[in-house]
Amino acid sequence: MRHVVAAACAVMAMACGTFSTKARRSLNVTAEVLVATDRTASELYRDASHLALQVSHDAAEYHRRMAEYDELETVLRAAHIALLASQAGLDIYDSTSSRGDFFSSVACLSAALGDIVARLETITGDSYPALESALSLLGQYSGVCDEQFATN
Amino acid sequence: MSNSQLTDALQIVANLAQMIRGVTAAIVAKQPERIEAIVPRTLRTTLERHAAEAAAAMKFDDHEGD
Repeated sequence: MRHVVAAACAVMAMACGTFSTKARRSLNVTAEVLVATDRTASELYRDASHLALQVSHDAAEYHRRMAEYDELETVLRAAHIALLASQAGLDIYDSTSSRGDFFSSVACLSAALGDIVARLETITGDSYPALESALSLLGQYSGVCDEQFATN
Repeated sequence: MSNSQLTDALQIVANLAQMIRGVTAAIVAKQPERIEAIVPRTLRTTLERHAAEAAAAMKFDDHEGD
């Protein structure tokens, strides 16, 4: 019986505490934060575009008025792509034990989240603690972002 | 080993198996989800941008054509 209990504990420890599982949980939290941020950003974008459409005299003025909102949308999209890339990096880790792709993707994800915080703070003047928490959570996976998730 | 002892031993094993099944189910239920299950395929903000740019193109193209 002792062996059975020991085996069960080992299975539990693996399921609860592996690098991959912890990292996936961090990505899950980040994904939830991104969804909530996207909801806020979409409302900001809609309000700004309605106003810009009403007051602008030509397309150039409209695009000038929407520039910082367009940048916000672009960095949100970059974070979305980097999040999926980070998950793919973990899938690679699960099959090869190589963490390089994951660390690199997470570094790009962190950079994109930092850009989102900066742009939202510029637009609204508010702080975004949930995004800051997600950034802290990802900080434990240090890496270098050697890929630009260009979305233009 | 008497029949009674054997029955007790089998009962212990059955209980243990049930406990392990429960723990396993709990662990599986708490496994992280795939990102695709959490995040939409296209962000709401992107959809708003597409809609707004289409509206702007329609409005200003019409004016420029006048």
